[in-house]
Amino acid sequence: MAEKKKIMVVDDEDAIRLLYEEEFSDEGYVVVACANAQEALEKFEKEKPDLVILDIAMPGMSGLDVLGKIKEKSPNTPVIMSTAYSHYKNDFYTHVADAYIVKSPDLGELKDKVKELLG
Amino acid sequence: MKNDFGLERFAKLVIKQDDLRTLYFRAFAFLLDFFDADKLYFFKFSKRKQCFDPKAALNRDILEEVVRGDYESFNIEEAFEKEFNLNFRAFGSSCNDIVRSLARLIVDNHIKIIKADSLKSVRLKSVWKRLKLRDEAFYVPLFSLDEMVGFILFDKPIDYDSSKAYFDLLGCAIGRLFLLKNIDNLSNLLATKSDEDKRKQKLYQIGKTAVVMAHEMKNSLIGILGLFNRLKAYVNDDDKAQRYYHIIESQLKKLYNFTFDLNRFSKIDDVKDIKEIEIADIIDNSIEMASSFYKDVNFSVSIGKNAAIVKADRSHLEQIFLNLFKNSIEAAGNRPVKIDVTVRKEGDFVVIRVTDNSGGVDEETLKNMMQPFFTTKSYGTGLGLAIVKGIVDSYNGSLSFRNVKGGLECIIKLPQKNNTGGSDGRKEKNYGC
Repeated sequence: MAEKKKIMVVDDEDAIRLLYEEEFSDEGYVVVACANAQEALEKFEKEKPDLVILDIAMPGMSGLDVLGKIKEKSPNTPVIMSTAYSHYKNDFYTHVADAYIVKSPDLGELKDKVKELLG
Repeated sequence: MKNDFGLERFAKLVIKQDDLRTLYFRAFAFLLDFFDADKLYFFKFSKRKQCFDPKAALNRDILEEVVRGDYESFNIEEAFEKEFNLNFRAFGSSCNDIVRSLARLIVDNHIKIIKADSLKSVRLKSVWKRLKLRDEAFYVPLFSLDEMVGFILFDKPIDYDSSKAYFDLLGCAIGRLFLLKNIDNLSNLLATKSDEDKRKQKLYQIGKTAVVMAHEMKNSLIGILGLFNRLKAYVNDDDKAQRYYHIIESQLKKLYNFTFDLNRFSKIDDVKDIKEIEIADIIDNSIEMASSFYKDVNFSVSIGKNAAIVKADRSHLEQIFLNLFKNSIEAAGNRPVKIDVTVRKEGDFVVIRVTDNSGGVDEETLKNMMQPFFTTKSYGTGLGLAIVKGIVDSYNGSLSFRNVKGGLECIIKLPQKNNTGGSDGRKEKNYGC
């Protein structure tokens, strides 16, 4: 049996972290959840996830800064930027990410994108 | 040489920057090199002065080191101070006025690049001379999060489309830089005099608050609603449990939809996508949307021959009609609803009248109905008509209501010549006023 793919979720909302953990575990992934940028950067080194789902607006260091640091360390790890509003789509930084998703209670689009990026 | 600078390389270079000012200057240096230009002028939008300020001109000598080097050894502070002090203090406010007018042209018509000789302003020509630019100077507006933060002046034609990503980057860098700087000066920004200004100030504050509220609420509700959907599998068949579940679900959805209203309210003055559109199309779409929520509404539409085409942002007009229809239908209660829409050209205005048979409203409601958060409905957000008012104001139009026989008439006048904000440059940054 193939090894389970590991997804790292970075979001400061408890409910969203729990939701992603549950939904992606159901889909057969291993989920590593982080509540802030600092934790994300530490766990990224240790856990070496196959894909990262990154919230943009977080207290302290923003998701865009985390994106820069992740892409510097590991340019081939796919990163999906996720935010409540679409206006960051025009932010140049998000061009560096592999995908951009507007958050919704329905995770259909996000799940499809994860599947696509993990081949 | 310039072809070696691919977008990917540029992105990698830029993403490493923690210092926004460094990022901004490097982006400038890159553009200078990319377009093989001798000098770039940058005008930034000053929120305090509500106009465009010339802020920096960087020429090839200054940036040579950056362009030719490895982007590591450039003294940003020194270059900025030197250029800024030498070249730009002298231009002062007269230049601002002209730049402001020009900026409006760009914003109003959504022109990405303007040829200087296509502009009629005599004063502009004099600034041209002072800036020692040739007549065919080109402008590129810079955007950050959909807001125009400034523009760059080129002394030669450029290919905007193929280099849009670089401008996006620069806009983003500048937007962030100024956002950080301006937050402390927010109180100055709101220092105003007249009643109208006070009204705008109040709405601006509400708008700012609304943005934050909408974002925070929506973000929390996404997680809550997602988990709530999962909870369904664990709710047993017990009648009470089912009833409680459905009540909470409908209330959560109502709150979730409210965040969209708040967001719309706060985004009214964003950059508009103005085109010539067939108003009949817009009305048909809006009727279709309204009919999917409400049954048994009798619509009649009459459009004057010379009012068939209007200049506006499609999404704005749809929002206006949808909100007005919704208002009329909900006001009618259980009675059969009849809504008449007429569109006429009157002078330089397109006048839209939406009349219903809702029975009209009392004086107090008539006075306050356009205020944000004013509502007579137990389930309303009080933002529907405030959104309509905000949109119409942002076009320099007018919105009024009056009681007519058996119902309420809404009259919207939209100017069709220069239809987004006139020349004072103020409209584009207000929130929902």
